[in-house]
Amino acid sequence: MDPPTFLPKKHIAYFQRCLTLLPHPYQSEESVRLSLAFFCLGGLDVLGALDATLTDDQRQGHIDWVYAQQVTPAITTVPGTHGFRGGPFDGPLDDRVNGVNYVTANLATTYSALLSLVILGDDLARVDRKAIVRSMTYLQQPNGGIVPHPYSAECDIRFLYCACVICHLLDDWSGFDSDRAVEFIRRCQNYDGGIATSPGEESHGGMMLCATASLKLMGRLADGLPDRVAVLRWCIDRQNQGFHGRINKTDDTCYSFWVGAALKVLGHYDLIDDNRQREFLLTTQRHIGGFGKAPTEYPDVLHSYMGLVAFSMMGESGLAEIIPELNISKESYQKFLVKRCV
Amino acid sequence: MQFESDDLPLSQRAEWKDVTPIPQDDGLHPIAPISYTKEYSEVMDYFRAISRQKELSPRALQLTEEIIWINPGHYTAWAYRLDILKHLNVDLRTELTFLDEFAEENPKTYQLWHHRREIIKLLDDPSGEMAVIAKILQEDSKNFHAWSYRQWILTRFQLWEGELTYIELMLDQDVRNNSAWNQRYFVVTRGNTVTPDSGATLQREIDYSLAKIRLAPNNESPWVYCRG
Repeated sequence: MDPPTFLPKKHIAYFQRCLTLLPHPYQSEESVRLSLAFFCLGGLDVLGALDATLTDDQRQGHIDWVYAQQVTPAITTVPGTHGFRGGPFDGPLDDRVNGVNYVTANLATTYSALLSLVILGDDLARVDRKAIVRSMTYLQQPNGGIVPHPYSAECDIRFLYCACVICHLLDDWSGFDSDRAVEFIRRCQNYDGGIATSPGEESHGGMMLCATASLKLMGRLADGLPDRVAVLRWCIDRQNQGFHGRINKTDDTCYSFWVGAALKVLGHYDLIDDNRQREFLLTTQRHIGGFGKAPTEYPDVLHSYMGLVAFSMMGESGLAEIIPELNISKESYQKFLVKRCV
Repeated sequence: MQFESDDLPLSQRAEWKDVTPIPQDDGLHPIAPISYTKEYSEVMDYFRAISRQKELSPRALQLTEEIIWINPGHYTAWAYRLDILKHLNVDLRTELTFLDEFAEENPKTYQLWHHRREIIKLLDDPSGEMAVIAKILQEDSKNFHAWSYRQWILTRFQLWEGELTYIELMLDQDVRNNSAWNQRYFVVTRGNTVTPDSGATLQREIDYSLAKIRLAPNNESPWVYCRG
């Protein structure tokens, strides 16, 4: 049998299928459907297949669909609810007369929405920046952490990262207290050099990217995490064959992204063993396209996107280069910057 | 209040007769539409109809339960559920029993554990919680939601007594359980039963980790613990 190879054409077909219709098990994630959409669009973007996938009309239609999820002050006046919701699941947004309750954006789907819009070629001109920036002042907590929406008490570093990307893309940091955020990130760093979801919890690979990328975007990478050696050691020790997310756990496709991208942000991607990682990822790649989390698992859009980006970070030819702290291709981001200047 | 069988579609249940369901409007160019099951589509159609009116009723409570069983991460349904519970003055112990059952099927749901925090805050009584968490950790000793919740209970109600013993039991079961090692650090540095800075505590912790290193020299957890 031939050794397994990387299968870009299969991945294109996989993301195209998912963009058209996700099977019913995804209904348990529909609250963050915009993030699922982002993984499909981002995957096709990295594969350079977006133009071949969408006609101009479809592209515009998708942009309009994303904007249809925007929660503005005209829809609800509850503080902290503005931005983009995950999908139309909680009802129409046009019925203020009867009062719309429980409709809220959240930082994770606002992050996914803005990145998706940029990938689709939009200039973010229809984003209600002021409302999002004001929402952030309500969501950020006195300890510097931030909750994703006003009905949540999940104050942690995942949403802090989303907030940083949102501020960066909107080019407005006035609703976000960076000094407190840096303080929060420092308090998330553990005795082992890793980063926890919130202070005191166990270090986790996903949070390492959230911390390093947030610091980079805030311009505080140099002083944010003083013990750089401990950080690097923790990251490098996460590689077995592929990467795992916590000490003594098994390898999982997504950590090749989370920890790998953190190392990219830190400027030390050269410290990983590409060949071993590649071998592992080829075992989680599926013949029908996509990646599962482990060798025997079905593919899903999150692991497929992250496995693909890991190949991009290793310099696989034909794949677009990613800006690790923003999680978007260089090309899409640069096009956006040019549009924004017009 | 008694409801008709959960197995009947909502449209055939008498208590829902007065509600006009609102189907989802996904527009002309939906991105990544989901092929919902009939059952989920229907409960969401009714959810859209009553949540926007903020109907705080027993049938709404029942509806949120049906939704989160299918979609455990449905944060809007959880937020709605909490408001209904408060408004109806439901016995919160009943809610805890429901959450126990729910956690067995969905132990890794962020919303579940945060909802549980809110209930415990309202009850202001953590009795029984440590046993519930221990049961979940018996199933999956590295469930970080459960460990995170455990830290919250310990801190809020100052239940540090006995935690080191529990951690030692967990590490005796699996010396490579890094979640338990992290919990040990948490208790030693933040708990009120030990003084972290004292030489005696430091020496005890170093001795403990060295002993565990001898058991399995390539186990990363006690090495980083000792260094930390």
